[in-house]
Amino acid sequence: MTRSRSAGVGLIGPASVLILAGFLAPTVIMAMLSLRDYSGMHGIGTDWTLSNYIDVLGDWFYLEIILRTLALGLIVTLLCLVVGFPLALFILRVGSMMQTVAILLVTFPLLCNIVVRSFGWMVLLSPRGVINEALINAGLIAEPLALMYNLTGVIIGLVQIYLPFMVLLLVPALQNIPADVEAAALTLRSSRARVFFTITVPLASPGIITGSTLVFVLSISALVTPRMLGGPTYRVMATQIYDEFMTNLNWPSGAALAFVLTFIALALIWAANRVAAHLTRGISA
Amino acid sequence: MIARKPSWLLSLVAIAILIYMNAPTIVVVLASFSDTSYLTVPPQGWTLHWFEYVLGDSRYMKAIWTSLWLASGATFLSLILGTAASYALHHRLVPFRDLILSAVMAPLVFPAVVIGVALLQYVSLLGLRGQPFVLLLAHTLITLPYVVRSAMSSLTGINPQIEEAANVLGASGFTAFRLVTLPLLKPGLVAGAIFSFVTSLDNVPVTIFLLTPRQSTLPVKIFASVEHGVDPSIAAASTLLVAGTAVALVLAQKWVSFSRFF
Amino acid sequence: MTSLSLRSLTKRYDTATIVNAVSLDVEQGQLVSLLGPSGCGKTTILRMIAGLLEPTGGQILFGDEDVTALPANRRNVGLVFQSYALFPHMTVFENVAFGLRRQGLKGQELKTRVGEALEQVRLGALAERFPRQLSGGQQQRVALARSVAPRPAILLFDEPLSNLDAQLREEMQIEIKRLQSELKLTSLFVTHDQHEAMSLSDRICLMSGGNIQQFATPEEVYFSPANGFVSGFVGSPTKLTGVLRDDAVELAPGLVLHSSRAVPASGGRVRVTLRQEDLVLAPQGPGLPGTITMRIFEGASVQYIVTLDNGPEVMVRVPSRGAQADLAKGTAVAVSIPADRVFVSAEEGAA
Repeated sequence: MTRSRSAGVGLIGPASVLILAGFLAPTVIMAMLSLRDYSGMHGIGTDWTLSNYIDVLGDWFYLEIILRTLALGLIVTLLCLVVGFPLALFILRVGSMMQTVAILLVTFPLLCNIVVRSFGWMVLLSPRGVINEALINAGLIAEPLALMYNLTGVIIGLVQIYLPFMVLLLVPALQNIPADVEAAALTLRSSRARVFFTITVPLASPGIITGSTLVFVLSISALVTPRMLGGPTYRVMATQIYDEFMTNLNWPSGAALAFVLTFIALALIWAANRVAAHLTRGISA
Repeated sequence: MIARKPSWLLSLVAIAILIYMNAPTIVVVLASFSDTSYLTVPPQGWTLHWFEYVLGDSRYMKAIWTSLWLASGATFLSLILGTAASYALHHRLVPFRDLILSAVMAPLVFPAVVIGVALLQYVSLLGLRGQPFVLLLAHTLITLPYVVRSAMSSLTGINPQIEEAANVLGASGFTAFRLVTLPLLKPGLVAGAIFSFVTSLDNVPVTIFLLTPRQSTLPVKIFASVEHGVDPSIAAASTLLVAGTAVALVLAQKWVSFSRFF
Repeated sequence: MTSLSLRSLTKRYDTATIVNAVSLDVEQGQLVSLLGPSGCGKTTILRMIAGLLEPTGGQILFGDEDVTALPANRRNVGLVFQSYALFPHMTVFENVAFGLRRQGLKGQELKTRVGEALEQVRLGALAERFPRQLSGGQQQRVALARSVAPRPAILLFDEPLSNLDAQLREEMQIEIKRLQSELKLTSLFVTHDQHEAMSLSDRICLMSGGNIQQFATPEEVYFSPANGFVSGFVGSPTKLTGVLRDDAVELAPGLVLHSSRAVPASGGRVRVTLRQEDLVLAPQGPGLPGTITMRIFEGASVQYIVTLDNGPEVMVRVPSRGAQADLAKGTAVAVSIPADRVFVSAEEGAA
């Protein structure tokens, strides 16, 4: 036992040191910083205070950013579900050759750079971009549509960026539903639509919850896409944290906002795990 | 699910979604060959000028090299640290197993921008901002969970008696690992390595906080350049990243099937 | 080739004692079975002998050599796993060669030795296959060849046949017995299957609760069980309780069994174990009166459940070609039991 334990410590040691020194220590230090007072005159002070959190949660400027971020996350998640479901069904139903191609076309964007994809959307959505040019040339519109530097652009970009996660989680969730269960429902004189909503969707719900949570958490944490497609004035939590640290140099405020974001993300993941566990009680063997 | 052919409506919708998913990448690649000084898709004339420009620009080249060594280094370190840690965690050789596992996987669930600003503060306090090893360790931190997740799931599929069989047949602990467990882990480790490499190559929200104004990685350079307006050189730099990803994917396919990426 | 000795071998986890000071000698070339219900400590003993588990106390000797402190890879034992544990990424040849390569063999000598081992299990033609391309029985043979190829001092079996179907299991039993006696390998065979233990072993070590209950030849274990646990475990006997008066047991008022065997000195409530095949049925005559309540045809034998008048049910097994094979349900019978086949033990000894 002692021999294997010392071997175990040797094996886990390097990774643990990295996590302790490179992740846990910085997080604890930031937590402490978020509890320090700050003034534009004197910078970061030495007194303990909750004022940074009170400022962030009591100021409409920040509250609006937080609410906008959550609304954005919700819209992106719902759209990913609505768009991802038919694609997942298609992947499951199509022949094996097309299936491989479809999975490749879902996986490739997942592995492609987020900056590159956001840049691609800029090329497509800008006032003189591919889509506006095409619509003007076709005579459908006279003036370019505002597809970018607003909510629309950020949504279009984020849905495309996080859709692969949703599809790749929905496919196995739907695949694992035993065909017998659906067949049984069909023999019990249920319509196909009824089977889909009363059997298929509930049985796939753990996968739906996992996918939705992932997409939501990634969306509210996103920095690159909201900045590139939303522009400097369209603020979400991540871009505001960036600005607090890099432009305003108000680190305690940024740290408080960062912890609010972290708290929302972790609480949601925790809750989703609980719900998924509850739902799988009867499903998993 | 009941096996059924997709209806033509479903097929049409799915094809439209697949086009939507790949449109931005295709547009970027097309734009990078445009012979105009502003972005046009499809290009009116074709040129390789913008690639020449990017590859001849010392700042771009520096960013490309930084990205490549960071991604390679972080993947290499993650593979070693992650495989060792996964082995110890899987065989329950250490106390507080679940706690350690959660800590190792935490960078995956923490918002990346939060990790970025936390590291910014920490590194500034220690006076280490801009040190290459700081970048390398930060990237290892965010790529490690991918290797661990992949290695842990591969280890679960290996009969624990196989390594014991090797021991009884005269192989010491490490020899048994090298000859028996490692070959069986290889597909999982390759998948984890690819995800690590791509994740490191992709990262902006952590990296951007750790760079000095004189340093850059390729995605950070593209991200920063966009604020000054878009031009085909950015598309060319992006195309290089896409090409790199595609090559990694094709190489990976020789080793592991795509199902490994789920 | 060498003998195997265990000296007060003990394994404890915190407060639970899994193996309780077990001492055992396996003579050179013998096959001994460790037989017992799950959780009796038999697999723990095997893993300690193989070096995969550190004992809490005691010694393990191969011949005169104390190997207790040696790691698994320096013990020179062969171990056949229940799951076979073949290396899935290696061919049959490479699986068998694995142990030989660790001994430094290569080239022609390696090929010859692997070939020999594969011939011994009659798998020479399948050397280039991968384990997943083989049937369960073939995989088991490869596992056998792999463990005997390095010529181990001791050969260990960890319930190797429990994943095979009944017919294949019997074939493999013969195979193992043949190979073991040809190679004269000192072997320890862990099993929970008494028929397997009976048919394979020179001696059986019957275990329960981390202790040896009886260590004897299969015949002795069957005919002279050392205690109530052994008599209750071997065969699939009827277990009854009664009150001891001198050398007779009263099962129910008026229902008395005589035993010529040793009985507990204390008297009072005791347990009685009756083997199905020891009971004799007759349409009438001396014996305990009863009625047949069920008849089960099993092929070579017929099993009856007989309800004794005013008493418990007993199970009786008779040859299916015998005179008493065709008794219908409801038939009144007399059940007689030879006095030397009535096993009486203290009730606390019941397992």
